[in-house]
This record gives sequence, structure tokens and C-alpha cells, in this order.
Amino acid sequence: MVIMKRLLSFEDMENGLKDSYLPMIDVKSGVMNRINNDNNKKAAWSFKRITLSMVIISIMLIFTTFGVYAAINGWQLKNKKGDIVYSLENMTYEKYIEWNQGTVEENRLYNLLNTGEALLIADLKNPEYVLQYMEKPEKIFDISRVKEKAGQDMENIIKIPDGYKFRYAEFRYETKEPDKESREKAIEAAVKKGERYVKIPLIENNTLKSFMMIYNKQLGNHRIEVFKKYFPLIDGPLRGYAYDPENKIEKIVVGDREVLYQDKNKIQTIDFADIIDGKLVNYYIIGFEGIPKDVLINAVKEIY
Amino acid sequence: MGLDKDLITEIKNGDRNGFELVIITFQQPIFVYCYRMLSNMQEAEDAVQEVFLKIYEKINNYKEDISFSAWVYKIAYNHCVNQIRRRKLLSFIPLHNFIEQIEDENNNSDKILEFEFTNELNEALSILSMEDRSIVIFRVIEDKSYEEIGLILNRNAVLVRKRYERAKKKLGEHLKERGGSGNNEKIAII
Repeated sequence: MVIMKRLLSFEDMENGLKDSYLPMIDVKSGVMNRINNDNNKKAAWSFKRITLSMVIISIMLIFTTFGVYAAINGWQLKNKKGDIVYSLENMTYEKYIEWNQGTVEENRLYNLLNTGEALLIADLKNPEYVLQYMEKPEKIFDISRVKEKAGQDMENIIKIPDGYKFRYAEFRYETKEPDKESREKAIEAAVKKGERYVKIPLIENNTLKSFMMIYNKQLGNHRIEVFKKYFPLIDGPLRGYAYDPENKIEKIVVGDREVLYQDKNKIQTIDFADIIDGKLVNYYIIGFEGIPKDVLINAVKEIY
Repeated sequence: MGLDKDLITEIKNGDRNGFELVIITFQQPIFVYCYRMLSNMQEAEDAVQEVFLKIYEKINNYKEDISFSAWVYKIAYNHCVNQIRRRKLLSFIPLHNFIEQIEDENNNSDKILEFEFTNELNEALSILSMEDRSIVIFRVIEDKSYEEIGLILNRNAVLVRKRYERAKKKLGEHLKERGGSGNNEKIAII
């Protein structure tokens, strides 16, 4: 039996970082080959193209409610009752670029948040600053605390399938913006102090907006990671956007369930949704290390 | 970890053998740094290659006002930050938490244990901002001075020290809270 002390303090972490094993790598020949390549410029261009194509086949999901269902150019998933539970639309290239540009600034601001914070935030050095709504949910690593926080109503949502290991959960709550006067005061105060960023805390209430659980399973050399997202306030199907010029997203049927399968490089994913206890739940399953398609498909049966 | 100034000059003049020495010297520490920043073994290895290609491309821009090592880490830091940002564009799924399994065909208990432990280390680091994470990695693993970290991150050494202390406290509290509320103080693999 091997016993290792768990991380309980910064000192444990220091020791762990210093002592933990990482494999030795050798990139010398790979780098030198690329440098020595006569068509170096062409190779560099090709690499950028490959990187870009890897970026653009990825699914971007923006969950919103679907007020009225309309025919879409993309994919739709139905549950076994025949209800449309998930709708994934194709995004145009222009929209993809616009979306990306917007998120660069958002990501920069997001990195300024502490875990558990919900804020209106803006960079005052940006002459066209706009207050952005941002939240970085708290992660809870202890399943008993998750159960306590979620309450009995969520028992079916929280349940971990046999053979899977809980990693952590994230709760997001509904928030309310402070009134205009308070916002203006906060901006004025930040300007007076010469601060670069204005951060206005949002007022949180106890209404759960979404909840996510992450659990995984090791299968020999493969690993499966499951993201189970629960949206108690959404009425109607989940809606997402994908930019997929290579059309690598495939709708398949697993048992009586429709799912979206995607294979990109060494990562395979399956995405689907259903209604549990009258609320929408989205499963996002990720396989690593070139996991065979049938193994990932089997995981759908295991987790649901 | 230093390299002869003449060697850098020779590389600037096109000495590719000299550049191989740069790779041999820095590849493992840069890999460790990238892995702790990206929490993904394959991405970290790819990042190391990209970092060296950038070093080669930009070596004529290197000026001796900072050490060569600090300059190399500055490139690695910028690369990892860009990589993380790009990843965030892909999906709202927190990819930074995907932990690569230990690469070994034999999935024995020591490997599982190491995987668990690595997982915990990376998860703890992930609560920090990218810059604070770098400060902790440089300080703890690389044993770098606040001055050198400041040069890499374009920050004042005093600020770096303050941020290190703050990150230490934050990590300490996080680990205490998480560990304290857990059922097991130890992971046991039989």
C-alpha cells in the first residue's frame, strides 16, 4: 500500500511542486528540423493554418433560452419523448471573428477576478470602456459540501455514476446589478484613485442559475471527463453555436438518445441534453488520448 | 542556468549548433514551467517547441539588459498566456483543468497516485491568475529571485514579492479549506 499525504498547506504544495515527477522531453531534433527546413516560411504558414483550423472546428456554446423554436441550419437533438432539447446552430465566419474579437477583451478582464466573484468590471484605460458582467464561480471539491449546498431536490442531478470519480462542482447564482447611481459613484471613485479597473460587486441572491459537476473515469490509457451542467431556469431547449467548416460534428443515436459526436485531433467529445425532474441538463463528455468512438459511446450509456 | 555571452553572439550570427545547446539547456525547465501553466502534458510539449522557434526567430532582438534566461522565460510566459487565452475562446468549458494522465502503458498504483497528486497541484494552481501562477512557479520550482521574476513579467520586484505573499496566502487558505472539509487526509492506493 502506498500512502501519500494530501495537499493541506502551501508547504505541502511547495514540496509537491519541487518533488513531483514529470517525464523528460527532447524537442531538439523537432525544433532543429523545423528551423533547418528549406521551406521554413512555408512550413510556418502551414502550421498556422493547422492551428487555426483546430480552433475553428471547436464548438462554442452560448446557452440561452429558446423562446420560439425556428428551423435552423445546424443540428437539433430530441430526447426519447421527442422533445427538442438541444439546438446547435452553425455560426458564420464573420460572426465567429466578431465573437472572438469580443472575447479577447472579456478574457483579459476575467483573469482579474478572484474565484467566487461576480462583478461588473471595466478597463478605464480603454477610452470606449463598457462595464462587463463577469463571474468566476467558486469550486467545491468536497462532495458532501456539494450535497449540502444543493439540497435534496438536486439528488438526481448530483448522483455520480458507478465507476466515476467526483472532481469538483461549480454553482452560479442569479445576480442583480447595483443601481445607476451606485455604478457611477464606483466609477468616479476608481477614477479619483487613479485605478485602472473599476470593479463593482453584483448583488447575488439564492436563486440557482446553473450548476456544473465534473467527474471522470480512467480506462487504461484513456480518460473520460464528464461535465454535467444543470440549468434550472431555462425553459425550452438549450441553444449553442458552432463554427465547423470541416463539418466534423456528427449526430448519432445512442440507445434511444440523440447525441453530437465530434472528433478533433486527440480529443473526442459527445454532447447531449435531456430533461431531468423537469429541468434541463447538458452532458459534455470528453475522451482523451485518442479514445475509441465505441468506448465514448458506451460512456453515454454509463452516465445516463 | 546561464549561457556564455559569446555563444549568444554566435547564435545571432547564425550558429545553429550553438542554438542546439540553448535547447538542451532550457528544454526541461521550460517544459516544467509550461506544464504547470497549461496543466496539459501534450500542450506543454508543443509549447516548448513553439517557444524555441520564437527564441530562434527573435534572438537578434535580445539585448543584454536582462539575463538570457529571463528573456527565455519571458517568451515562454507570453506563449502560455496566449495559449490559455486562445483556449478560453474555444469553449466555456474550463479546459485549464484537464489534467493529462501520466504517460505509461502500465497503469500501476504509483502512477495513479502520481496522477492524483499532480491533479491536485494543478487544480490548486488554477485558482490563481496567470501572472500569480507564474510567480509561484518561478519562485517555488525555479527558485528565482523577485528581481528576476520582475524582469520576466515587467513588474517591480517589490510588487512581485507582495503578489507572491498574497498568492501563498490564497493557496494556503484554499488548501486548508478544501482539505479541512474533506473526509480523507490521505490518499491510499492498495
